[in-house]
Amino acid sequence: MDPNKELEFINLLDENQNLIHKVCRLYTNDEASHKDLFQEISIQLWNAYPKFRGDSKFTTWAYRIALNTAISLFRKKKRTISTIEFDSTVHRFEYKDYDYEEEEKLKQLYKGISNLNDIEKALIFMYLEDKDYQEISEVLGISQINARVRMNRVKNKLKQLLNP
Amino acid sequence: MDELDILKKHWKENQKFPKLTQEEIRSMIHKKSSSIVMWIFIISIIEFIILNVIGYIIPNDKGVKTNIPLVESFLDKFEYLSILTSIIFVFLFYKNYRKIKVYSSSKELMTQIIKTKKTVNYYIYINIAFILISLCFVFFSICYYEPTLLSENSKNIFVLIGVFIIITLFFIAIVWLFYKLIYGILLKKLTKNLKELEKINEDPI
Repeated sequence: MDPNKELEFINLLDENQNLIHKVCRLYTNDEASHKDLFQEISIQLWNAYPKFRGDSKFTTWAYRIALNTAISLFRKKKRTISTIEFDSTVHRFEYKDYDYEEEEKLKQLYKGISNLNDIEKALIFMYLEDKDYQEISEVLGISQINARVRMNRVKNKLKQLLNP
Repeated sequence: MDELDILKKHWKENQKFPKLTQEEIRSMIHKKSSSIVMWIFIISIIEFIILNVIGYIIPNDKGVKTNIPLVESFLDKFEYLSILTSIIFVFLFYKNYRKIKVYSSSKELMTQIIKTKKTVNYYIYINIAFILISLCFVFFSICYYEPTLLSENSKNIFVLIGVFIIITLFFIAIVWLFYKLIYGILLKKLTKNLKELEKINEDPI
């Protein structure tokens, strides 16, 4: 590839590293898997970059590729690992700023997220990232109405976990 | 405050991630070797399992039992040696896989790729050597048990040696092709990645 294009891509990836890290945080449960997924997403973005025309924002495009990569690896992994145990320590979450009740709620919510299916996780991720329904529909390749309906279902699912 | 709002607040507050340098990103996007080495490891396990399962499924042909303690003992030991060698190589492939770290430098990765390539080649050579030893053993057993073949006609010895060489070459070719096909494709990919990494090192950001 053209060295300028490569430099351009590296700069973009450098600016948006956290985006990939956040996807990895949601789809993995240990540091080694996090690093593996980070690399896999970076390689997929790099391979797909020649096709990036700039019609959408780089971040929207990167969200799509990152989530697709995470989802496809998550599906492969699911065939071999039936359940994923949630371990808050490996997620490096800091609970110290929260009171006990909030901390418990958070633990339950993260546990709930770790048990969501791949698409539901992607939806929650977009919600946490404050994305509007237009961007969600672009990233996930579903209609805005569908995104809205699915999002409400996932939110309710998580709320029910806390208030059974 | 709604539970999901708490979650969102927490999510936004916990965004401290390790930062990669541009050089690290550059070498990382050119690294594909981790998954290739993982496949070498997986294939070696599959091969080991299949070959050993075949060994158990196919019953020992009593007809080839020699009843000579020395020969029987050699065959037994040779079988154990073969299994032990396979186990050692499966372990070495696993070690190679574990050593390839995502964030390791290009130079470390290159060293590891060269090491993996060497391990695969040694594995192929050792397997071919085992085939060669087995065939030599069969050849000498025939000479030992059928001495008449050699004494009746001196031409027989040349025919026998000729047949032995053809069979040996045939088996070696098959084994060589088998390994070249399975591991060769992966080795080719590793070599390609190695060249890309060499280029990166020559032309840093």
